[in-house]
Amino acid sequence: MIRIVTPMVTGRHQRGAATLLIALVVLTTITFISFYTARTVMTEQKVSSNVLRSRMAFEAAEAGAESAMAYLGDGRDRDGDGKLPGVLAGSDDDEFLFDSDGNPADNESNTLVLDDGSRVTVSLVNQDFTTASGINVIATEIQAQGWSDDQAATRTVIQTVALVSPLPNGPQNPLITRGSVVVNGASTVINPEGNSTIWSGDDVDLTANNSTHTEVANPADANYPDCLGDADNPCGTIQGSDRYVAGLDIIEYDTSLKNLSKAEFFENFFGVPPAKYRATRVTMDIDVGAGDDLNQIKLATREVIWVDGDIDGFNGTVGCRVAVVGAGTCSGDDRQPSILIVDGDLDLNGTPHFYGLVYVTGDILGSGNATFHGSLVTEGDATATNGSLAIRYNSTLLEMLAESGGQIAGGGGGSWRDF
Amino acid sequence: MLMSRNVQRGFTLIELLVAMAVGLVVLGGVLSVYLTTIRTSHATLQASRLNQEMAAILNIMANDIRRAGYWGDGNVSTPDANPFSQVDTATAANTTAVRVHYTDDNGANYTDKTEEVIFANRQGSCITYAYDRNGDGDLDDDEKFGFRWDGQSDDGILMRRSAPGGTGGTNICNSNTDIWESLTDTGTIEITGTGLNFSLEDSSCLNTDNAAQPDCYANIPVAGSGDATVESLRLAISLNARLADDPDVKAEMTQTVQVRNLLVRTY
Repeated sequence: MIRIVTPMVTGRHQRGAATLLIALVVLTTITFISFYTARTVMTEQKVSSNVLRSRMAFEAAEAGAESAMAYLGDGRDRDGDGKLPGVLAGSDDDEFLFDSDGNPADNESNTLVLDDGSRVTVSLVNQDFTTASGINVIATEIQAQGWSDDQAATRTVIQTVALVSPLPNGPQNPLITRGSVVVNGASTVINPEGNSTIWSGDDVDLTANNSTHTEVANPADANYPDCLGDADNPCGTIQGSDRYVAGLDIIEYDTSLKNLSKAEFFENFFGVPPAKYRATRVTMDIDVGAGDDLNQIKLATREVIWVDGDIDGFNGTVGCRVAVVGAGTCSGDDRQPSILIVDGDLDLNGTPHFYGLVYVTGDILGSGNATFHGSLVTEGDATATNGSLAIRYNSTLLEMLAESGGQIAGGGGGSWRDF
Repeated sequence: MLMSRNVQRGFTLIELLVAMAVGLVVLGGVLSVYLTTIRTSHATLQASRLNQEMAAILNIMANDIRRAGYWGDGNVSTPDANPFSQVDTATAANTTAVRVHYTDDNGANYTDKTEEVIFANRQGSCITYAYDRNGDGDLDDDEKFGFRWDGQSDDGILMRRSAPGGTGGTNICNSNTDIWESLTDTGTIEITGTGLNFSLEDSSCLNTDNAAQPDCYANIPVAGSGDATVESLRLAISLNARLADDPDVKAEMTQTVQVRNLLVRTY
């Protein structure tokens, strides 16, 4: 039985072998070619994904630089300790650029993680300088290092941006008026950092109220004169003037103020004419006549606010993160001063609190008990009919204004590089 | 008995014919699969080679041009003094800002039209620009860069490494003293058809001193008016190429790059 099968099997087997062999050779060749092609395609894929990752890292770095610019617009050294946030040596370790937990109240990180998994770490370097014409320029170098989602690729983008100060020439007095100052209520004007309080182009009349007085730095203070101009360690104060005595701290009938036009008076502090300032520097523009809600300016921090029309009966806090009531004050990091420009009259009621600079093109009126930290300037008269004004000069707040509502300039005029 | 009869019987002619026919059909099928695989695989490889070459070229150009106008001294308060971002309307060749040179109506390459104040709305196959590679603030010969394609398929893309001889007369595309190097290997790819094209058409210009007519491409500021303009240059690069050893493999690619350093001018 075995013999019967064997020849047949052998015969078929041999003939099949040729086909099989050919098929095998062909298949092997095809396999090898496929492998070769696949390998080449895979190499190409690797190259493309490397390019993609590199681009991803680059875009992340760009996103970081842009975010840092947006941050700079609201002030770079927000806790005022002289150190900038970032990851470099000498930078701040308790102040951060980005919000990582979705709660906008505070920032926790210098690293921004983007939706696609890439991330970017940003550092700020102080590049302040003074131009040949003596203008101080607040410049900041942004260094943004981006990584791709798998951390394999990294690219760095470096760019210097300058901030245009919204208050190039800050006032040196607590109260400056082009017109007259007539106080009927109990008002105090305090300058713990210098020897002058009210600077007026017209009459200053404090005679109506027993409690009205001004205070200036006390020369007997142990730290005098180092405490002058130092808002963080201010001098003790002594009374300068009251209803009976007009001291040297009050300058009245100053023709150099009176003879200025309103626009010139404005330009003296803000550097540009009012219309241009409103068009270019203002971050909150409220037109009372057009029905804008005045309450928007409550708790406005680091803003440059322009109110078109009279403010009548405003009772809130401006320039502080928390609402200040009664005789309370705003302290520490909560102080985020704003510039409030009232293109009209400021009619005070209640107990509003202002931190920063309040500039009024009309008159200051009203019967409220208003508190100003920083400075109060008006093109018109300050006539607090029945109310009282408490004005306390603070140079730190005014300096912080230079970085408020910031306008970025020079963001790319030759400073951008990625090498 | 049965055994021996069986052994001698062999295959019939029909059996053999059928077997051979079936074998041939199978072999033919296998062969055609084989050939198709080879052909496809070859095409894939060629296309991928071309893609890769072109993407690499565009990447090199885009990454380099993006840096145009960087100034190591970068004084943010006087960006219009940037020596790497100057536009000289009187002597166009002194222009260091990003500039696309084009073929004029007479077919002459890279004509400099000095009367053209604005360099947007141009297309051409040569671009020149400069950036401060060593960061020293000065415009050096080897900081004037450029890319060009001369219009023939046997021309590769050239990259400028250096333009000696100060600023005067150097920022042109066909200077003999400039040092241009090949960026592409003409044995690998050929630039064909519309070839290499640069276009600044999507750029924008803002006149910061004329609120009524802020678009300074539409309303060119008057010389001496003191108007300051800020130009944001957006460059589209398109590349048309084919493989040198297989002209049937062609591709066209486009990449857009935003020049990050703004061009600031005072009229």
